[in-house]
Amino acid sequence: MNWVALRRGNFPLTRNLHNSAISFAKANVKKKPLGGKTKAKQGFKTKNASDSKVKKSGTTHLVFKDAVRRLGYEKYAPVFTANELAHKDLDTRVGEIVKYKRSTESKLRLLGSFKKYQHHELFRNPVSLISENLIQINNRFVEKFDDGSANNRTILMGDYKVGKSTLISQTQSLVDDKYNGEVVLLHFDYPERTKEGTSDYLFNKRREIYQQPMFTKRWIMKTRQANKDIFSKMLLSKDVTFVTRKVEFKYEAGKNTLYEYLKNCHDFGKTESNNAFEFFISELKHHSATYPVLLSIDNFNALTTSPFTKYKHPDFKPIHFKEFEVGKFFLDYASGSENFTKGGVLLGESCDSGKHDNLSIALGLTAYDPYRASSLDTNLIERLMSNGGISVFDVQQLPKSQIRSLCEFYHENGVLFMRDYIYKDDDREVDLSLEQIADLNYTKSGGNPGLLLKHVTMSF
Amino acid sequence: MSSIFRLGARTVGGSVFRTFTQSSYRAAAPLAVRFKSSPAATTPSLTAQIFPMDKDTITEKDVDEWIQSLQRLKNGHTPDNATEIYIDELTRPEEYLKQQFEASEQQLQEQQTFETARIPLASIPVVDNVVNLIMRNGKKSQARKIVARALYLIYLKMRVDPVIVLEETLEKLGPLTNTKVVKTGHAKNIIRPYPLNERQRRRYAILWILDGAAKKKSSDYSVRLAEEIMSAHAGKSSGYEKKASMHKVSIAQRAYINI
Amino acid sequence: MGVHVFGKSIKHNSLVSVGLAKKIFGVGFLTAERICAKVGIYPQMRMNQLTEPQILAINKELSDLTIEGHLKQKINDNIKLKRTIGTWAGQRHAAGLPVRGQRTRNNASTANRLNKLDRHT
Repeated sequence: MNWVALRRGNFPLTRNLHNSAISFAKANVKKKPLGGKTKAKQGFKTKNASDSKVKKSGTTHLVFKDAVRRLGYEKYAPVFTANELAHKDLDTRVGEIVKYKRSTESKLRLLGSFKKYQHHELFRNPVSLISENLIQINNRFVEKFDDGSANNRTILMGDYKVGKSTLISQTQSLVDDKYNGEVVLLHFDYPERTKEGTSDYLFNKRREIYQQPMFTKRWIMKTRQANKDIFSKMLLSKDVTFVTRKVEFKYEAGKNTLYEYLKNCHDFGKTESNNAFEFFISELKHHSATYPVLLSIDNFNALTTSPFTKYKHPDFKPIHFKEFEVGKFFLDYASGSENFTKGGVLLGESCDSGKHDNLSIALGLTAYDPYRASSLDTNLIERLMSNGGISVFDVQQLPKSQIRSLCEFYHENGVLFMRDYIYKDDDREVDLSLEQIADLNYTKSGGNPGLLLKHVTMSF
Repeated sequence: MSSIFRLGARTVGGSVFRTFTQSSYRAAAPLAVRFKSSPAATTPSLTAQIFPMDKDTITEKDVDEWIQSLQRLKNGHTPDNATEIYIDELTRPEEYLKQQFEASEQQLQEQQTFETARIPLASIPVVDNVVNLIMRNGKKSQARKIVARALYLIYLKMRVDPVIVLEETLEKLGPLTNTKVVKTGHAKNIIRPYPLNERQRRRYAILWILDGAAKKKSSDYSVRLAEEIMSAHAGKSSGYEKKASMHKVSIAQRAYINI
Repeated sequence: MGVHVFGKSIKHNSLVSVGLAKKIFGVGFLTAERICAKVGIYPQMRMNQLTEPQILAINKELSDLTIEGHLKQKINDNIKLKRTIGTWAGQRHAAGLPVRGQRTRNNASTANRLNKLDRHT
């Protein structure tokens, strides 16, 4: 083991006394000028030009969480071989470690399904494990796409780092594979962005709704790029005219495609009220019988926990998220009042967004307490409970066998190091088996894949 | 209905009720732990557990009976019906709360096997040393987080065990000797070199690494530390100059080495 | 780099509400947010993102308020009124001493600094 070698072995570098002293001997020491001491300055210390210009070295100014994501560490990772996640024969592949299909992976990257803090920088490509959860979600959600999205609404709930967001991206991949790419993936990885006040807003008087051009524009761009192939196949169902850069476009029904519309129509980001988003959704709805739609909203509880946004009405009252175009879209499809003929709505819970009875009552997990009605958004709860309600999917921890296979995979890819057990008096137990390490990690993580990865890589 | 019952019981039950609610509840049924997303556990209500009358629901009649019995007991009545006996027993719960446990043969054997078992250290000593030198105001978990993140970054960049990188760096950077001033009592004091042990060497190395880390760009301690450890591992660190000057003084004063 | 609103130069990268509150005498954070809501400026908007019509709208809202010179004049007038009718508060202002019964054996420096007949010159 390397440790033992280190302790006993010799280091060839700079260990000799006389060598180091000569090589680092200083050439000349600056002499102090004659004429006694310099006069000490009195008063407060002020910032000198020389003080403020301390020379800083180093390659990055980023903080840890950004450095990990942005510096492209995955390119240092070894190439690994793994099968691709596919819909076929899924039941027989439980416990297998898979990567995403190349086309799907690029789609999911565009959609933002791979999130921060998921340790994707450890591997060359995002990896995941086919767990019992995925089989269940396949049976309970993906197979029910024909029922329509209003009857096919599921929320993923579970412990911190148990893999809810990963399950969403796995489901997206599964659906993409099942329909051979002929499925529309709509994804909101961070719906808080619609209510934290970072996008501009304007009031659409005709529809009596607020629009968020900056947010909508960016989301449409991502969605357009990710779903390019499928949108190119969708012919418009209605005639539409719009003006972009002083050029008038006249698109005819059955002739031009939705992709062309999204590419050339810049109304989404315009600071005047328009119906572009509404038109886009209505087109998706029109085509949903042939091209199913998977709408996935992660961190959905962030909306229900504090439904009021940072935005204000002109009379300085806070605006509810459902009064926004996108927020209304969330609620319409999450409550099932709007329906895609084929498709599903998959919601995700975030453990960082706080808890509130709004969601747990709407899901039937907590009884309604009339004494606490003032702190509840009853209207929102009723909406979510309507049309048969949202079914709750409990994301389970992994069993020991799967934790073991994950450990094995991490070991093969150099992520998991089999360090010795160190005892007092510098005693150590070397040559541990993978079995022991897997046991240890199972005990530490309790079968939670996120915590497992944290224990493996970031606990010493 | 049940909420009314609870209200009545609380006011009439008085101290007896309130004192033994907790303990008897715990004795009656194992605490049903409800996880965040599990469906509601179907345990009987608290009152039904304390007042086990072989009934699924408690009616107003039962409540009246309970209150009447309580009143009669207060007036010195000797308990004769089931309710009264039950309430009377509640005032002497010691017998029911006694915990009796005898280890089985198997458990004793198991204990013996673990008596000689050695427990490995919870963390790696070198890493612990760095953590403790980074720690300020006793905030150890914060220091651990900084070091863990730094080592994670080192792993991401170098793809080798970061602990070994750290060990190698500290071994390389640690000085071998230092000098101390010995007072002779005469006009001239002696500067005497002395060897450093492993722990002392490591301490100097870590402190110099932390000094070097302070000069890096990032506002995040963990990123600065990772960069400094990696550059020191590559042989570029201001610590090496400090080490050399330390050695230089020692060599100059080698005549005073005390053997 | 500054954006000129109501005759004041406000730093370009500050939030609109913060910039208004910091720079304009008589406008606090709440008033600034109210103005933003009324004009339709989103909470995280920065000073340099303001368009010309929005600046004009902010100026219009601000001109309806008693701020800057008018507010200072009003405060001066109030103090002067108290002095001319000979109230205790007026006397204390004239003497540069605390008005509301605070001690003067020590710690009256704020009053010494601020309490004058011509408070805002």
